[in-house]
Amino acid sequence: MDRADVRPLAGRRPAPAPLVVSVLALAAVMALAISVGSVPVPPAALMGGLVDGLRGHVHGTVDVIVWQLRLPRVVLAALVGAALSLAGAAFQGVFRNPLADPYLLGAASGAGFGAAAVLVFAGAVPWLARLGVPVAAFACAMATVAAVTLVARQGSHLPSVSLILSGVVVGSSLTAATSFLMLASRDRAAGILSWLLGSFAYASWGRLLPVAALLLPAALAILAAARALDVMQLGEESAAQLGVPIEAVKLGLLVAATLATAAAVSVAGVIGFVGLVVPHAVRLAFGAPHRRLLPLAAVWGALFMVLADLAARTVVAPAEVPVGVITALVGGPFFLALLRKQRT
Amino acid sequence: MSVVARAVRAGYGDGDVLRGVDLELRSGEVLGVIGPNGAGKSSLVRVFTRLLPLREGHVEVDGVPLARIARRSLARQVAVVPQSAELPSGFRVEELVAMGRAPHIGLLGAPTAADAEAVEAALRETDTERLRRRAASELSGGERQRVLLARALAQRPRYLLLDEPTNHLDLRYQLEVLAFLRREVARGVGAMVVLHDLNLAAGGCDRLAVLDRGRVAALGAPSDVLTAPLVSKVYGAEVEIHTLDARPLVVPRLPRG
Amino acid sequence: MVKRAVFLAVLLLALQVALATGYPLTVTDEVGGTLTLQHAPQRIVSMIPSDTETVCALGACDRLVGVDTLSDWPPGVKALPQLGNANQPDLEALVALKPDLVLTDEYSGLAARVRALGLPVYAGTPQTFDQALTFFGTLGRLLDRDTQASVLKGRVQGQVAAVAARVAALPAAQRHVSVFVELDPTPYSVGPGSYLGTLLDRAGGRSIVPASMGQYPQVDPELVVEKDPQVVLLMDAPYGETVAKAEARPGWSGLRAVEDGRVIALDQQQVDMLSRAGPRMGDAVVLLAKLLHPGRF
Repeated sequence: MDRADVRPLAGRRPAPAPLVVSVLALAAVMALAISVGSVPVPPAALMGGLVDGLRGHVHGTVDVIVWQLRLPRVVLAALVGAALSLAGAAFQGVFRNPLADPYLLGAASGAGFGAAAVLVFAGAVPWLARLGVPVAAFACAMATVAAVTLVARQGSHLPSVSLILSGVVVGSSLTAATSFLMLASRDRAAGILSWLLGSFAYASWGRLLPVAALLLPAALAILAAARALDVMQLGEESAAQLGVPIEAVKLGLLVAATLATAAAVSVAGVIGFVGLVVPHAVRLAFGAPHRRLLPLAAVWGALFMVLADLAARTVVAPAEVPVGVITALVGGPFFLALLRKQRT
Repeated sequence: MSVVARAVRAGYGDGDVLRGVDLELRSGEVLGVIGPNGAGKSSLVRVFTRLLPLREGHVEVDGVPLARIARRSLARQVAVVPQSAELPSGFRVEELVAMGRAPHIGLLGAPTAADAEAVEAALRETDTERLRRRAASELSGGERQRVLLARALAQRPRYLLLDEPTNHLDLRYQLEVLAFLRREVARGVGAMVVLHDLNLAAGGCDRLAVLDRGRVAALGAPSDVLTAPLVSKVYGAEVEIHTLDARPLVVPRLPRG
Repeated sequence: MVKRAVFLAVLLLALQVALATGYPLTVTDEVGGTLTLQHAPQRIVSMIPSDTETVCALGACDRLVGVDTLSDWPPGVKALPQLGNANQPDLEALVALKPDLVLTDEYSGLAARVRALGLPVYAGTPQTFDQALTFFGTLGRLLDRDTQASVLKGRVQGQVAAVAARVAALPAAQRHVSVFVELDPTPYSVGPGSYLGTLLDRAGGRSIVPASMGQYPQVDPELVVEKDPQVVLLMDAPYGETVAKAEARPGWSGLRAVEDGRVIALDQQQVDMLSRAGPRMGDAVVLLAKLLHPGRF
């Protein structure tokens, strides 16, 4: 009963077992995802493709399929899943609100509007076309959250309630603007909608690297705030009385989580549910302390997303289901089941 | 060694809640703060922890002006036991108590053996060791209050500020809290405790401060402070003061009909 | 007679030699990408139905190894491996076919993705009548089918010219039949400047939608009643709209098209033919002329 590894402070090795097991599970799921596709590739050729890719000698059809199509897609799904889940956990922690998700402050609606604007106006406005959907989506997501933050700011304070409310209001306005763009340019509507529902079909190393470069510092910043997030669960007043610089931590986490969210959304579209449900599920399964919750949320977010994408590209192959549809359809019932099990 | 407030004026919005408070909390004493609702008792706690900014006046902790003390450093000297015992779900008792070490560890540092020892000691002294693996949601009201005491203790503060720690607690826990305070005070901690129950205050505190509409109406030993005219005036209710074991006993005069 | 035939054959051969594409051939596509072909492509993937039709019309149908899901003409291409569509391609299967030329559009972004995989790609598909005629030549050069391209172009132009001549011979009042083209019941329609608008023009008709509303505008239902079209073309009929439902719409009972029984439900083949700027453009103009001027064509 007295497991030394869960003692909060004596634990220099904080609960290694669940994290190790989770990482192994993620590796297994990623291997599975790489081995499945519309063209059958035997395991030996698969390994060959990976080895060739690592050595920078991508030759032949199988190498191209494994190294340039499947691997970047699986890695991107994992990165995006980890980012959304981590950002969701950060937002839920900062706002102490179980409904908080990475899109709470308008990142999704901002990105959606940016993407829709490029998809609609690229033909008429050359610089928009050069900018491209990912950059526009990223920029609009960041700008939206910045605007929401400025609107909600009261002096040096960032009251959570005004942040959430202005996020909802600004988000609704941008969603309406996006809907209008879709209706006004019918031939682009399908493209916008499929972007909004999310997909990893456009994964490539070229797209993946900038995202990874943005995600890494953001993820480290969020992980570093684990203790502050724990203390903040006592309420902002108590946290301040325990020496936590509330406004600085809040702003830092907001920037990091928004960076992660915007980077994820810019390449994968608006994939819902992962950032809301995975942190809750991990909390129910492994407990609330963020030192444990945050890394596990990242790993399980990645795992869930890789599986969702695998389903998205196999259930109606060779066509694809938007991965956002899968995450919502599968994630919802799974979470409800977990919730019920927890209560009894 | 003391926390000193001089001519403190502070408040919310347009109004002042504290209108010139002079008060000193000394090491080794239990200072009771009493007064009717809205007198400014909780605001005083918030002023001492810099949550409520001063509009006028001066507060210093062991001779250092409050404004010059970093938030983290202040949290190592002054600990608060809050009024509402709402605890976040999903944390075990030992994890909640360990949060008291946050000002010592810092946000990026790693806990040391000293931190672990402080948590163990806090659990021991509040008799919460057997609860350590329990989730906060499984605790009774009294147990929650003891966890909050343990957390404050884990901070190893020189001053403890308790905001109505016995609210909603039955008699046994009320006495437990006072016994706990006496132990800590004996080690040199200064404790300021906001109380509603005048007899509990009279029995458990070395000195009492009566707050009335943002000012200290009386300050001194319980037997000097708790006089019938003063209590009647401040609370707007008729009382009789009796003496029991050299302590004043406040008895409200109930309307008879 | 035989002499003349031989002469013609020799001339055609000479033309073919003169027009033969020289490889390696480098061209720039509509998104500015360069494509270099070392030899005439033998394994072609077409991700656009009209491109598929053009490849086949140039006599290179046997060089197609894969097509998009909507490519259905000529019917033989339906037996080829299907690779999704330009927006949702099955890239793995596409790569596995080892194509030496991929034909796609300029909007979906597929061209960049295919080029990144090291495959030769031509991005750009015609949107208008004139662009399609030009594209026949472009594709003819890429595939070393220049002569066939000229012939195809001539045939389409001939069909259209024949229709135009007969339209010009019509009484003035019948040269501009007013048409409401319905793309979906919301209703979306086509302006005179759109591809279909230009086909209508050549077939002696005119869309009731003002040019100022753009190419594919959503129109106010009142506009249809106000403009009182002589003919209604239901391009949404393959997706569930019916003549009966359309005629029952508020205000439609008095329309000339309804009174004359000229609300016309098009079938899928007709809709495809009217939507694709490809080798069947001439057939499309003839079809429209027949629909707009019954008994005259």
